[in-house]
Amino acid sequence: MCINAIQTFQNEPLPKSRACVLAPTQAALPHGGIRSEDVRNTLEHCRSGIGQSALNKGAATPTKKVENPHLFAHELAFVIERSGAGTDELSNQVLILYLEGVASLPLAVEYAERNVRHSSMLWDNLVSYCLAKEVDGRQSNGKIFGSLLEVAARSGADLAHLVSKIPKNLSIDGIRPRLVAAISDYQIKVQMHKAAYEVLSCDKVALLREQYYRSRRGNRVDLYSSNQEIVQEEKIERDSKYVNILLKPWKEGKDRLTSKRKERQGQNSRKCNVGMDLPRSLEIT
Amino acid sequence: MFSEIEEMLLNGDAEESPMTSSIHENAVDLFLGGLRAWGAMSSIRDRMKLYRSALNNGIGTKEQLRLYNEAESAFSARMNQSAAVYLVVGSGGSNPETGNRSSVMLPSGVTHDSLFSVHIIKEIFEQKLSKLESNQRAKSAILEVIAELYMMEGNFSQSLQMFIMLGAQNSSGQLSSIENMAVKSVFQPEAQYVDPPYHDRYKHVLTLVETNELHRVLLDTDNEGTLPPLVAFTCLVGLQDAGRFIIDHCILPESEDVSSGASIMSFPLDMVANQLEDYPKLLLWFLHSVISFKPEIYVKFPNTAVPSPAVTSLHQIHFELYIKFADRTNKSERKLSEVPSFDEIHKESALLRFLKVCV
Repeated sequence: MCINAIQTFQNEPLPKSRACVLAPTQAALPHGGIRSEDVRNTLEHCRSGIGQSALNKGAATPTKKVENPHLFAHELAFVIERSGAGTDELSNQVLILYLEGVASLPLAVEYAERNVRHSSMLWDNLVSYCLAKEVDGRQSNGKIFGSLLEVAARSGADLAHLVSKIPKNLSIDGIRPRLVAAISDYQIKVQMHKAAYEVLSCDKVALLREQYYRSRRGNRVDLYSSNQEIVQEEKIERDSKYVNILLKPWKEGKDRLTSKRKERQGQNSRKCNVGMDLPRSLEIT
Repeated sequence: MFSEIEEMLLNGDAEESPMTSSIHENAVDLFLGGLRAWGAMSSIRDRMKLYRSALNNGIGTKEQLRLYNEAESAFSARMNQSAAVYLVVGSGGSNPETGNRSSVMLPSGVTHDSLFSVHIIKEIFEQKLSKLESNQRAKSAILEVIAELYMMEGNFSQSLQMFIMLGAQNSSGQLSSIENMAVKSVFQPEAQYVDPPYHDRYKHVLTLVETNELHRVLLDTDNEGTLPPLVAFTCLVGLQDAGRFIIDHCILPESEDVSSGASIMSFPLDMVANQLEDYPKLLLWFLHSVISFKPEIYVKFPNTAVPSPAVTSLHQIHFELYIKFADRTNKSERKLSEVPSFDEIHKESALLRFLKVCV
């Protein structure tokens, strides 16, 4: 099959669109021994309660009713997310797997945040799912929505949007401490951002100063060419007023720059031996 | 002496009490101790080396230390057994003069200075082995004796084969428990698994293989109908240590690994997998260990874009084994309203970890 695909690919005229190149290449060169589609089918069959043997024998089309909703839910969600075409339906399926199969709000919220293309749709579905659970009455006192608020605050989601979605008649247990914790978390995050911004600004100023200092010293740059003769270190004429930088093979040039920097910083100067060990600050150069 | 022990073992009931069992074990140990002490000096020296390196490598246990001390005392006794030493009052192992003399007289290479004819004794025991039918305990003792005798002759590969036969002999009661432990260690990695104390006395076989480069003996599957050598080896030295040893020496499939193709101190991945093919639980455990401890030969290929067919077929088998042995009992009692801790959120199953690196 692979050889046929390659031959077909070779016989075809040069494709113009990217899809034309990708399709036969993907068919001819399957990387890895297992493919996402096969994994997905196997996991779905296991969840629907059909054994591996039936799978291999190519039994009649199984019903898609899920008998073991928790079995391989996380794995299936990963595979669909990895291999899926990114459609609304598949994204929603992954979300449902996280909510019902894995029963994990943090994973569902992470997925909704991660999936940039369908983020708003997923958030809407997530909120409506939690509200539907509350209305069902199986979970009283708004526990699920409270947990959603907590998880959303933890993952840095838009909390204001979430709060605006709370129905008027819904009572949520412990919403006040949760919101206070979320806001204090937010304040800490803002402080961290400010501190990081200040550190980066200091670095930026220091680097700009150094760049200005360096750019002041050079006058002319001769670009290095392959025909150019390599200039020895001793032959370089040192002008006190102007500095001609000859761009030599990069290693030599790098060494020279390093030695010049050391010279500038006074690291190359010899130390005077006064016959005793002195602290570094008191060394006589 | 062995005839009495053999009689004792043969007459023992199948369901004997722990006390009788311990008496039998002690009797066999005494016989083996005598055999080793009267054997060739070179074999005692080799045994000391094996025990020492096992202890240094961290695989040695109290049993190995005991055997090392036993070998050391046997060695010093053999070095000092001369009329001149007996005449000197108070001379012993602690005497520095005696110590110097011993080090000067230290034999090199394989010596044939045993106090009995190794060849004749070996023949006798081989005849006994062929005559024995069903008594496993006596058979195990004889196999161990023959392994010791081969070691005295310097025939380490035959000695290892005897140890492998010993492992296969003792596997009947242990293989299922080893397989269960293997599956548990895959799906419940947080629990600590320790090999049963039975395996302690054979840990030096690992260093025997390593120091004498006998890795290929473990890959030799000519004897059909018996346990594969690696499975018997695992039954002998225990799952944890055997696993660590195999993984440490595991390399890419032989046809693919150009750089170390000639290395005899290695286990090619595909050959190990072929041996474990009939033992899916052990195969799953092996592949899972490779993915955990040596991913560069199984899932990460920095030098090639397409993995070899041998490896990709193993991926397929590995996936099927995960599905086959996964815990299907519905244990998820977690409610959606519960907010788990950060560690719990990102806890991954073995299958998910596999899919993340292989798909």
